[in-house]
Formats: sequence, C-alpha cells, structure tokens
Amino acid sequence: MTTMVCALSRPLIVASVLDGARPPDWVEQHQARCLRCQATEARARTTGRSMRNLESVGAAVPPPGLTDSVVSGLDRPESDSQAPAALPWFAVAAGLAAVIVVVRRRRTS
Amino acid sequence: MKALRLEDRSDEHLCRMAGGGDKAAFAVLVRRHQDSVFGLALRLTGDYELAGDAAQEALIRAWKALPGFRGDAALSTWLYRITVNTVWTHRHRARRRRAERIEDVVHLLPPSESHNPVRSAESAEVGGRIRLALEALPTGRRTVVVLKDVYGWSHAEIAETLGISVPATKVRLHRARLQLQGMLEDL
Repeated sequence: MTTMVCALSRPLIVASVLDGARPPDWVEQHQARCLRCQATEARARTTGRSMRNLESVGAAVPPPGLTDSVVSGLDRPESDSQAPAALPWFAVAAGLAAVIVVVRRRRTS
Repeated sequence: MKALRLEDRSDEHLCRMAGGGDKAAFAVLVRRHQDSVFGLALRLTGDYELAGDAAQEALIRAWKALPGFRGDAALSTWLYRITVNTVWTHRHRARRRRAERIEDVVHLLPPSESHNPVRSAESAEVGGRIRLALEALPTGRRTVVVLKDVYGWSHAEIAETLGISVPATKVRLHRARLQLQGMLEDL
C-alpha cells in the first residue's frame, strides 16, 4: 500500500537518482524498509540510463537530403518561409471582401 | 604542400569560412552535425517529419547567425540552442501534430542494440516505452525533461534558452518526472 511517506519520498528518490543529490535522512530511513520505494529507485535508475542513451547519435537517422535542403535554403529570404502560412489568411480575407461587396451591391440594386 | 580538404578541417576553421559566406564549408558543418541536431529536434517534437523541418530551419538560422558566432561555446552546444529555440517557436504546431498521430518508434532504435538479441529486446522495449512516455508529456514539460535528463543541460542553461526562470524549469522538471514515473510504473 502506498503511504503518505512513500508519496512524499518518491520525487526525492527520483531526483536523487537523476541529479545525484543525496536524499534527506528521513527518505533514506524510509526507503531502507520500504520495498515500494526501493522499486521506485530501481525504476528511476533504469529510466535515467535509458534516457541518457536516447542522446546517442545513432538513435535517430535524419531524413535523406537534409544537407541539400539546408544548403538550397540558405539564400531564401525569411519571408518565403512565411508565405505558405500567410496564404490561407489572404484567401479567407479576399473571400470575405468579395462576399461583402456582393451583398452590398445586391442591397443597393 | 597539399591543402587540407574541407572535410578534414576543424569545426572552428569551417565556422570562420562559413561565417565569411563559404557555403561549401557550411555544407560540411551541416553534414557533420545534422544527426545530433535532428536527434535533439526529434526528442523535443516526438515527430519525425516536424523534426526534419525543425532541423532544417535551425541549420538555416545557424547559417544566418554564424557571422556573430564568437566560439565561446562549442559549435554543437550553440547549434543545440538554436535547435531548441526553433522547436520552441513551433511548439504549438508540434502539439497539434502530436494529437493527430501515434508515433511508430521502430525506426528510432539505436543500431548498437542489435548485438545481443535478448538485451536488445529488453532495452528496445524500455527505450520505446520511454520515447512514447516522453511524447505523451505536454510540450513544456517534455522540453525541460529532455534537455535535463537526456542531454544533461543545467537548469540555468535551460532557463536561458527557453526564456523562463530557473524556478520554472525546476517546477516543470519535477512535474515531468512525476508524470513519467507514473506512466512507467510497470517498467
């Protein structure tokens, strides 16, 4: 059963494993007799080890042609990259303007 | 005496050349650092396609900023900061994309884990679980926990790069770790 002490100890145990800081004495004393908190420490060690391995370069292969895309994009002005995002808003604005003009003309005629 | 090929020159030398407008020198730097830049972008976005876009944009930003690069930090550290900034700028897009799909992690497994089949299966499972758990975290928490626990950044570095306070990074890290532990309880 998870006790209040377990709940309070948990983040301190995880932090002690991942940051290398010594937990407070009361946490160490509790952990010495609590299997659940010992399991928390073991899990934190496994997680920490696996997370550090995630940094390894071989873990992710960039899309082919990334270098070429970068080099070909070097001379592109920044406004170009904004254009596709801005385009739909221009279309919506133009559409709205057209509708307003049509409605006004109908009202006046 | 034969001149050194670009590929054989140091990062420092290539940076100076690229800072002066030499694209060939920059292309060599890109080839040298693209894996680590992409890797970081992938950890932060949890999305292969978005990570490719972010890596590309980060490297183009780096090209534009190179003339101002003084070399106080290692080039890789500087590129990491630009990558984090780029991903952080597009975090809303990443959040939207992440909600639309579930990541297939098979193509992300490190090739070095293929030596021992039993260990490979175990570590692949743990690694895969952790990647999925990281992806399930809110962007702000994921960014902090990846930078701290995967890349070993200090709180001060994270705070400076993300433009938030050190206490804020500590709070996010604390919450992210709790959430991760909750998701990985059966590990």
